[in-house]
Amino acid sequence: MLRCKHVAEALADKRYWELPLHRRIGLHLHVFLCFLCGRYNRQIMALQDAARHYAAYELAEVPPSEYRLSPEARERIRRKLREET
Amino acid sequence: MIYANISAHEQDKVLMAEDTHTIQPDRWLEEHGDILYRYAYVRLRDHGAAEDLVQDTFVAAMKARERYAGRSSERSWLVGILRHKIIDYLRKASREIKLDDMDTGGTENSFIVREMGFAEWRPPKWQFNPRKAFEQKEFWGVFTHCLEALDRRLHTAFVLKEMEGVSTKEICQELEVEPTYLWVILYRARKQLKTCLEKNWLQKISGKRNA
Repeated sequence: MLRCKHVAEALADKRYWELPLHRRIGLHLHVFLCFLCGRYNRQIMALQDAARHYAAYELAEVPPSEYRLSPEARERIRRKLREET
Repeated sequence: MIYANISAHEQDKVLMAEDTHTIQPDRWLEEHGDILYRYAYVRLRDHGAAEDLVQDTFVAAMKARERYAGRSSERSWLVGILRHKIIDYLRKASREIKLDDMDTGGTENSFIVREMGFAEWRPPKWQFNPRKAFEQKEFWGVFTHCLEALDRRLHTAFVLKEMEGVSTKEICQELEVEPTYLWVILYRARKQLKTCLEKNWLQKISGKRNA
């Protein structure tokens, strides 16, 4: 019997394309029918979604103080940029 | 400003001069410095390196500012420059991490992780609705914290794959791992991240309810 673990391994394996077509279809059929694989897939998708949302958030919102440039670094960069101009 | 008594040509000249004046690096630093810094820090987890890359980004942007066509916002243009520098940095840094830094148990230990002696044979359910949580600002504070807590190799792989959208093939080349093994690393990264999010986010929500 195909187990989720083996399916996941096979799908991620680079030799996947060497498998005969019916084996490949079998793998996808398993993912399609298996609620655990479905759950795993949805979780991955939710995290990818999170990563995308996060990018939008971090470019729009002013960071909290612990994630800001220190005054020293800011001054150093300012000086460097003045030299460059 | 009133330009009533100068010719249209001269008006253009003045406007252009004002334009170049407003692309002053000082203003960049003021408007985008902190945003760029956090972007770099979250991905590198190294304050010094993040500061250096922000500086390099501004220097590179100054040299290339004629080429900035204004098609994208100034911030996305700057972030675009920073991104390349971050990916480069992670590439170089990942070469220095040896594979042995992490136990290379392979898939056997990753899908069936033994916890407290019981084999975990299925991916655990989410304890909250992630998509709903995305709407709350506080959630992203927890997310940042959990990203920071990932093991180094897991962090690098997750950042490159999920946050910077680098292709699996490229990551495998850069990290010098087989695709199967990258899959294991990513599986662990997601699992660690998910566990951390659940623990800290649920705590935060329940703390709020009690307060």
